[in-house]
Amino acid sequence: MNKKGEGDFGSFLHENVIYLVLLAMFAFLIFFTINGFSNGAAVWEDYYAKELTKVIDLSHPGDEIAIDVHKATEIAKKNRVKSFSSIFNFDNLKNEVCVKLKEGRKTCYFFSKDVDVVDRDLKLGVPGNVLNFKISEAGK
Amino acid sequence: MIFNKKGKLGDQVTISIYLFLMFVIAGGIAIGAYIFYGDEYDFRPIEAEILNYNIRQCIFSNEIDWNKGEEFFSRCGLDKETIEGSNIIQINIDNKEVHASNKGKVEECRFTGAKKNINYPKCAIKEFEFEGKKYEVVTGSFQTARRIND
Repeated sequence: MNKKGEGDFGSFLHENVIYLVLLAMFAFLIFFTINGFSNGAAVWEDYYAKELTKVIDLSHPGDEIAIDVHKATEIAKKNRVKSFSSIFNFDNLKNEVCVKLKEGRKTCYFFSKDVDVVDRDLKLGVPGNVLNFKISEAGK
Repeated sequence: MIFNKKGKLGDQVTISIYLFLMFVIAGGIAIGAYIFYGDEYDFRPIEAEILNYNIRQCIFSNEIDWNKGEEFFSRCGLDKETIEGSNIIQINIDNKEVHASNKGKVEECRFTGAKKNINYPKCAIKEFEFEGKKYEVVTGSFQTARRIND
């Protein structure tokens, strides 16, 4: 029987167990750090605020817009945002879009087109989550 | 007498090097991830292009009295306060300026070196002829996303 090989491997494990444990801890730490960055609320708040600004700046009064916001709602849920209705906010007086994917903080961006965003409605499960709104003449 | 000193120190030295290497690699990955994800998505070039497009469409479909500064904003459906707070506009007809918002920053759009410098506004410069006149529309953005405590 070739027990020599098994013994070598066993002793290798025994001698290097501390290195292997440290390596595993290191790999987990790096994975969660990078995963934390990529799922970060700040990154996605910034992205959605700017994409919504782009849509509004290219729109015309009378347009009806539907945008898939499934990723945003997932992050908001993970970060325990109290109400989905507070994720996307449009301030027609300031011409500002605000996105909140974490309690206590939001990211805002101005749109240059002088229009109002009305009839905002977040529909869940159609099959993804979709944000609907209409563009109307500015009524300041 | 201490014999085989080098051998006895071996384990300690190896684990120190191991930990040091892990620290360096982890630090490198963390810094790389922070640089990659930490920088905000630079929307300014797109914003400048969209503003330029909107102004050109407005010129094509409206007759604007350039002597009335306010008329440009209302005719083109642009919000004056937002533009003055975060955008640049200069419109020249036959090399004569007829409108400017944030005039002080317009020159920054023309610096060749500014194109690669993130601290300068991002701009779009378009020239076209319309009804026998030569138009130049310069637009830019220096807006950054605002993180607000809610």
